[in-house]
Amino acid sequence: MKLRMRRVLQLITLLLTWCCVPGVRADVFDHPLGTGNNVTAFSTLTTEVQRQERVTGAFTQTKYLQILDRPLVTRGSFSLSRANFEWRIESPFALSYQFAGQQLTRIADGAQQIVQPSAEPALYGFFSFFTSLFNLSQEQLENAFYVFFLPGTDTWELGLIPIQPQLAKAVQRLHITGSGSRIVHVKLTEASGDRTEMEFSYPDPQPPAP
Amino acid sequence: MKLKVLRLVAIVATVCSILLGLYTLPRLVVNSDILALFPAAQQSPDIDLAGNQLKARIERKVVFLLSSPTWEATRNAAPEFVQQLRQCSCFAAVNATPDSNTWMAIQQQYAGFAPALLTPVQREFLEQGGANDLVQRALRDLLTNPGVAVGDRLQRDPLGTAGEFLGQINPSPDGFSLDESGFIRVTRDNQDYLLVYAELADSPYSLALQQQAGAAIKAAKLAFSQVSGGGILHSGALFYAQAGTQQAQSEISTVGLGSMLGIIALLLVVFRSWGLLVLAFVPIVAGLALGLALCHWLFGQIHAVTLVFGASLVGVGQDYALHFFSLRQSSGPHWQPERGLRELLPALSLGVLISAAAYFSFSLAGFPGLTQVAVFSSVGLLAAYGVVVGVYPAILRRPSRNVSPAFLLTITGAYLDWFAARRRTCGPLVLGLSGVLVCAGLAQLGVNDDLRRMQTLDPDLVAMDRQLRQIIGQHTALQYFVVRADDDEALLQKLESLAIPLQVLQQQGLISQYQSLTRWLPSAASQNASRTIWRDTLINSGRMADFLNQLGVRPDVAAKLLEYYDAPPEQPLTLQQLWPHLQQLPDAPVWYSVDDRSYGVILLQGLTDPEALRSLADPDDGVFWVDKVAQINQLLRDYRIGASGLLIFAYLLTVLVLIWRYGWRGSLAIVAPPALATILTLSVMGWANQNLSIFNLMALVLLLGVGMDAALFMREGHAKPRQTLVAVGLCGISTVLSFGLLALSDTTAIHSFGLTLWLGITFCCLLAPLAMPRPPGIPMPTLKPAAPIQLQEVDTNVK
Repeated sequence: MKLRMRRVLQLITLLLTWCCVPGVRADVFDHPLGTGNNVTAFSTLTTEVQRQERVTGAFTQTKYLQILDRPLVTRGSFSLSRANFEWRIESPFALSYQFAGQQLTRIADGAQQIVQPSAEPALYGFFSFFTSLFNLSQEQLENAFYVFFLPGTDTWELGLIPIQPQLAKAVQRLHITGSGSRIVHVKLTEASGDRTEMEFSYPDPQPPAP
Repeated sequence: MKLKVLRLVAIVATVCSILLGLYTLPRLVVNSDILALFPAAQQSPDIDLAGNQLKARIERKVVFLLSSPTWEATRNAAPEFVQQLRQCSCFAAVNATPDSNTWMAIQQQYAGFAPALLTPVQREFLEQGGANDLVQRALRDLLTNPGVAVGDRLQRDPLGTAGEFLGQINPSPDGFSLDESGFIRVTRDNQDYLLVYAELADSPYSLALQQQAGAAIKAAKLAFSQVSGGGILHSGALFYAQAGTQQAQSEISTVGLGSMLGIIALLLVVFRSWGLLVLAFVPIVAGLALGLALCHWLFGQIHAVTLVFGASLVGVGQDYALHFFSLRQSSGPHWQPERGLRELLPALSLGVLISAAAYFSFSLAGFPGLTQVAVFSSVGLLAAYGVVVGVYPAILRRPSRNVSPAFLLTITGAYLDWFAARRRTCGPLVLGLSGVLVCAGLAQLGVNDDLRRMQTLDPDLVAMDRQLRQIIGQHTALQYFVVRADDDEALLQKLESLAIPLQVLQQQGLISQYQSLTRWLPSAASQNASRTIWRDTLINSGRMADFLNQLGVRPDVAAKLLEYYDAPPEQPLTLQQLWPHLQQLPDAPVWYSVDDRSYGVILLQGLTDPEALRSLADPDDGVFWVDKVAQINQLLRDYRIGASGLLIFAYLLTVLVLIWRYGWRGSLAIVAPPALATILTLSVMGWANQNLSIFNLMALVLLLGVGMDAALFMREGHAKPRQTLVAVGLCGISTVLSFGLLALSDTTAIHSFGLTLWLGITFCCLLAPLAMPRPPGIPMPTLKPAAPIQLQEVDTNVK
């Protein structure tokens, strides 16, 4: 009897939590690309994003791993152009990655090391994916993901669910929030339950909203 | 009555042979690999197994590189390209994305063995006190890793050592990457290529497969041609096999057509009968049909060289028909088929026996491809002989209504006169000068035992292959090591000990890379040594615990991880566990076992100095250096020398065999035309700066058989020398037409063969009157020019 009561209470708590979490009811994952007017808005956004020759900014990455009792926080800056993606980590260690011509190089303590995709596929995949994400090509995204898009007045949300079973084994979904032509926040939920959140900030003025 | 039954049997057998050939034709498997002509087993059979495995693996591979001005356009068109290929049952697999399932299965096998799977470099690093650096580096990588599955990596490969181990096994070549859809992208000189790799379901030499694959590739290329500026590069044995088949087919039609046209013209001019024209082809068709069928059933496949030589049977099998027709024509109204046959039989039978023996001497040379030629040619000739002896007398019962063209008898008469006169007046000075000229030619004769110079590959394919290899950046050498050991563990230890000098050679730039089983799996001894170092430097020192603590790993998880990595599975990872998954990889290392012994192959890439590598071989210690091309070149040399001996032996044997019928003087006279023709041919080749190879020698062996025919007929038909010389000349011209056309072949081996026979048979026909008996004091018969056929001669039979 006690057990049943406890289960009912748990269920009520869960429902209350569900209803109270803002944004859940207006989830981007309820808006597949191609429904409503989101196609036009997305197309405007991709055009704007692709118009940018170079994007630079700062990032804060927080990883929540189930086996850790505290999150891993990384801070640094990045710079992205069509041919080159640089990811400079400043803390907790100074380390940078350079992704150019499909080659990933790790630079630490002044030494360069080429990262083989077979040795660290997840790391390599991150840079390959983020290069295409910052270039935001609808065609490219739809090749690898089911794409969801929810345009707002000032901001927009993009949801991605992997199509490839291999990628789906590692990544459950990506939730990207942007403002104007900039990506502001990325939340990556892994199939294991671990998640990574990234906040991006840009020093130069905000380009016009789509 | 008995004769009638025999003839009926001959007719039925002829029809059956032709039907059998027609039945076999669509089932033929044509092999155009020149290596298939030569013996496979040169080292011990167990070592040769490595070559067979590599050959089977390599020859079924097909690689495509798709490109266009933009990667997106290439990638969007790739699925359709792949789909078109996959629709064909000729491909066992077509992929544009790596086989991640197999790779994941292999990683599953490695899971939990991180402490045992240290590379030699990692172990040395730990031994030299690098544990702190290793931990700091791992900490840095984990804390700064922006990728996914960091939690998984922390548990599976906490210090990143297993990742490095996997990286050294399978280093992605420079410029290789996977795009977000999983396609393999190769970037070279700012151009992106999409790699598609396929595996054929059957041998690339199967004609049916070549046709199916050709159609599928054409459809796939058509689909990709929609991409603006799209380009396709391809590589694989399939394309060389297709080119080889096309070349063989085109050469067969050239040789066959040229030969047929020549023979048709000859037959019409000489015999002026459409009926005989049709009948003349029956022995050839029956011979070819039976030869094809027998080779197909005996060998399972037929070599392109066999087919080309087979087409040349037209020239030789024709001789029997021509001699029969000539005799019938020269017999005029007195023609009696049985009597005519009796007259022809000795020369015909001796000729077929000597020719068949000459062809079969190819098998003595031990080349599997030439054994096929021997079987094909001998069976073909015997069938042709059977048709002439069994079928012709039954059909050609009535005398010929036409007489030999007078101009031919005039020419042969004039030539015989001229020849007899030269023979009488030829002084020692002329003979001496001729001898000096001939010897000078012989002295200039070079040799060629290099296989690569005997095979002419399609230059477009070679250029495309080279371009593709430059883009992919991989070029596995034809030379490799085979390592033999008593068991798997001993093999892995031997491979590990070889890795040390190989790495030195790699640093010296003599090789760019090597592939060895030990990269995938260290020996149990090495695994145990790694575990010990791991435990001493990382667990017992407390570094691992500090590391987990710094990362903030939950205490319960940290305790489990420490326990897990402190007490790894006691049993090492074995080949038996790994192999079922490993062997599914397209670039799996080569490993096999024979009689409980274990064998591994070390493949080399970017080899610049084979001799330096060869010095690592130690057959006594089970390390064998395999250089197939060098072996074959050595073989070609051995067989060239062997065939030279065989030729001299064959001439001596023929002289001895012929003595019982013709006496030693007669025997020498008969052997003289082919023997002198051989010497003259070699001399001309010397003057023409041609090199002597095994194929020239095989042609000279064949010349012995064919030339002997001409000499025997001249000897047996000496009573009617003009008519006999017309028949011999006709045979010579038809044979020269066939073999002369072989000299047009693009394959150097076939070209050499054709040219030698062309020269040899020409000389042999010109020297044929030497075989005629010359009673002392009696001059050669002289005939009036343009004399019509003399019926009296018909009755002068061979005594």
